[in-house]
Amino acid sequence: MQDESTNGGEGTMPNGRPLWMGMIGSAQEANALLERSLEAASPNAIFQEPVIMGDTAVITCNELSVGVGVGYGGGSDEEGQGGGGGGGGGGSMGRPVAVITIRPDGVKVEPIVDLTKLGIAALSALIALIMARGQVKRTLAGR
Amino acid sequence: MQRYFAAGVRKGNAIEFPGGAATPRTFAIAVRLGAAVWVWNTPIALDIVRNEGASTAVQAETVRIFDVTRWALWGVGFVALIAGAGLASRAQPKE
Repeated sequence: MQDESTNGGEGTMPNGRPLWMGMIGSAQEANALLERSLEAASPNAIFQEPVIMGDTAVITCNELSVGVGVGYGGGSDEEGQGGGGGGGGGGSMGRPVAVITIRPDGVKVEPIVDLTKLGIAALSALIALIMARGQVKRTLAGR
Repeated sequence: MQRYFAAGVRKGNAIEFPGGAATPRTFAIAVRLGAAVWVWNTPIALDIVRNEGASTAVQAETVRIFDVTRWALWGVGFVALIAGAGLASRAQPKE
């Protein structure tokens, strides 16, 4: 449920800025956002804090990729009236890779297999090969 | 234009758990080109140091993390590439 007090009202961010410039207000903020994105390269962003159950610790690890881009610019017309604007976009993807279980009697690494992703890739490759084979057959028959 | 590129194995801070601590190692690529940033980070190993029960002996071991999904995807791609190359060679006119 969205809280109106934290939302700051329609069309504004909690800091009172208009919504359209709430994310990036200046080139400095854009720069700070880009610097923060680089923190995704830290190993501690990949390995989660352990979940402790008795004498067993479970640590999950993920693969992470992040992409962010911003653009901004400004200028003035012949009458000296200035203006500017900017925009940006980005995305991130995380995927669990393995679960590490640490017990007093040993450490176990259990890989996480994404069968859906593998199935889609295999099926796509198979369909593409079947279509290519049909095309090759038609080409050879036409000679 | 600000440029930054880094790639390599990185060691993280120790993750503490009852009876020991684990230090993560990952392989990361971080690129900054002007106002664009791209980061890829994947786990490779965990160095674990544990105290052996009531004794004061310390046991250290490294567990490697194998990304099964990634390598299986590479396998599917490689097989498709070989099969595609085979089909393409069949379609070539014979002299």
